[in-house]
Amino acid sequence: MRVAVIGAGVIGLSSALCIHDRYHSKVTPLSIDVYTDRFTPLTTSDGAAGLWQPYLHDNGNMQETKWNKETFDYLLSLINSPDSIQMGIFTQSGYSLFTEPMPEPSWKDIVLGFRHLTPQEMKICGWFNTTLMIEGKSYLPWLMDRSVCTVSSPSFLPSCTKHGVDVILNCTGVRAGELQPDPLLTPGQGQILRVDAPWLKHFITTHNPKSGKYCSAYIIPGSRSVTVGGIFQAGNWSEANNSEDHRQIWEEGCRLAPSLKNARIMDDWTGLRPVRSSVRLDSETLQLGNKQCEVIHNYGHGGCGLTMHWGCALEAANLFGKILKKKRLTTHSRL
Amino acid sequence: MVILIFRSRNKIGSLKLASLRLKLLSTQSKVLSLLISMRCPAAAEGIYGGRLCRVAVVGAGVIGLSTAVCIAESIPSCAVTVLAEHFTPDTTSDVAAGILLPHPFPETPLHKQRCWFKDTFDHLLSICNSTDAAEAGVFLLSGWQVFQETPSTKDPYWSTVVLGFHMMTDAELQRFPKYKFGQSFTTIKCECSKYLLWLEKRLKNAGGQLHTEKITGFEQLTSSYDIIVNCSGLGSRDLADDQSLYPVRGQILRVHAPWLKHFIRDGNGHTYIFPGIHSVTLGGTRQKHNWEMSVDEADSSGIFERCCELEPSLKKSQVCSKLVGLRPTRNSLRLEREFFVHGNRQVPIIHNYGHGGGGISIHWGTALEATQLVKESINWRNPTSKL
Repeated sequence: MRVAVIGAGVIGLSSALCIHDRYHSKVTPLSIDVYTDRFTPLTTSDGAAGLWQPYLHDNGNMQETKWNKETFDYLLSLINSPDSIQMGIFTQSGYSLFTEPMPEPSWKDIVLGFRHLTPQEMKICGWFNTTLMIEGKSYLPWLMDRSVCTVSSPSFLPSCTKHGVDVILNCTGVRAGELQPDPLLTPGQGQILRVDAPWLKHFITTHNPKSGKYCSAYIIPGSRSVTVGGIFQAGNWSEANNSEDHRQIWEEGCRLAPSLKNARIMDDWTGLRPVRSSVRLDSETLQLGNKQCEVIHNYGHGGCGLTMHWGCALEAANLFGKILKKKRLTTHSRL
Repeated sequence: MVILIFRSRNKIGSLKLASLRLKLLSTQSKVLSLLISMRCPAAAEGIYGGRLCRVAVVGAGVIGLSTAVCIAESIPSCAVTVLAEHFTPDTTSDVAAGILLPHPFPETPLHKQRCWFKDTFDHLLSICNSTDAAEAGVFLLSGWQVFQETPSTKDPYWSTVVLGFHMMTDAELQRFPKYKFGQSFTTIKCECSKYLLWLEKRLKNAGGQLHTEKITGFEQLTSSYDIIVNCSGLGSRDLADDQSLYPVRGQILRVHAPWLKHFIRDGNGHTYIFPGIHSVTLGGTRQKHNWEMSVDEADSSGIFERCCELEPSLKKSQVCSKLVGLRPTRNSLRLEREFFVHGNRQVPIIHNYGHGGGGISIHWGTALEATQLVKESINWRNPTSKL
């Protein structure tokens, strides 16, 4: 069985690993190849701060809440393991601040120690909790070491389908529309500053229901630098850093944490969140040339890719299992 | 009882003073403090013959420097000089992790301990939220204090001073399998390697001075200073002849582990992990009456092992340095005035020492109290001087 994964961000690599781990002993040979033109440290996942925090409202999407929880539980189970630091997993506590009281989030019982802020702590409304960090710059190399796969340019893909790729895993993120048009997918452009401020030990996210998701300042300390952000521009495909956005991020960040004022700014980075009204995680059979190919789509995670990646990888593996059943491929059969 | 005579002079300007005889010490000191705070020349002239009151602060650790800053900033009629053998980075305070978590004084009333802690916490909290935080080395830190056996006091007196204090949930405790009970809260870390430098700068801005000089006896100071403030920590054993003061030896490791964002402390006080700005402090030891300043390798391995049990990711950390500090311990903190007699001079000495392992946790509170004692001493007149 030949599997082609397109995309080497957190979604592509974790799906590849999950499928390999579950099926390599059941289907032999199982070859999984990752095709991409960008891999770590240049993917969207590398630029993300890596804070596990879903949106405030799940909009009734119970499936996504389930994937979020599965990811949190999976990462938490690894926190005391020897690999945790290499994987870029560690705990961090912090604040979610609002201009007015908000209903408690669906993830309040998933994170640790969720509570409302005391009057001493903040003069506005907010929550405090302990969550997990999963840093793409560490996690992606770790995943690549474990994937029995080769990483190559997507231009090889057409020739692969000629040579009998059985399943394609479409993890192309914001550029999924290039493979198959999807009007529901749009870039959520965001610039961030990376700052040297190692005295900051808490994340601070602010939320303004009027300005929407990610449009409000946030400060997320990491293991190497502090990410300061607060830009979300739907439909903007530019990956260039912008001085106006830089100024806005810096001013709002310093207002949120005055101690930042004397911190050294290391660099700027702009990424495109693969925004969709809901994650596309389904399968379909496509005619590619003269061959039928099974395609599992796994894209459109917006700003929550790292937050829900493992739950989605598990679901992608479930869909793969269904494909195997359909083709009646189990331990007893070989290709 | 001190008798004060005010003479009116033409130079005084708007103040009209008649001759007064005041017999009550507390009234005198209040009036004098008021006059001094109004920068009334008559008062200063009256006591020190036209010059500032010279205050010597012995000791340049967190207690000495914070007390000196407090005096210099709140009593303009004082000229403050800090005298010490050791300055940062060679003080006991530099070794301390600097976490605000009180150390118990068995013989000091709890309300006093709480007051000193709260004054210090509030003072540092305002620095945390200011642009000075990074330079001062002061920042918020959250974490957990865990207990293998449920403690008798689940809600200690300081639980209402720190932020967000609550009992750990079962889910939070799951990461600490050997522990039955825990407290989760946000406190402050005050890194003395930066804080002491920042205090030195603040002192100089307020007109204070710093001199490297080892003081072996108060008599060295009586001719040049009007008031002595003794913040010499463990040095008071000799300097103030106080045999009730003893060292509690603490060894620590500093490791590079930038992914650690929480403190973890075993409630028994023997094992702790305190992330700092550039390194994480792992501790510790509590060896009473041990004066040994050199690093003990058996202690180092013990500390590292115990901390790795609490936080397994530490196994991947690199040790940057190993340090020893002697906590200046006493059953109660000595914060009081005595009069030192040398020849024909009697000089007030304000003692402010014996903070044990809790110096940083209460430093500002004790500095405020010591400053108050200095204010009350300013009107105290040396019998040989004339008005």
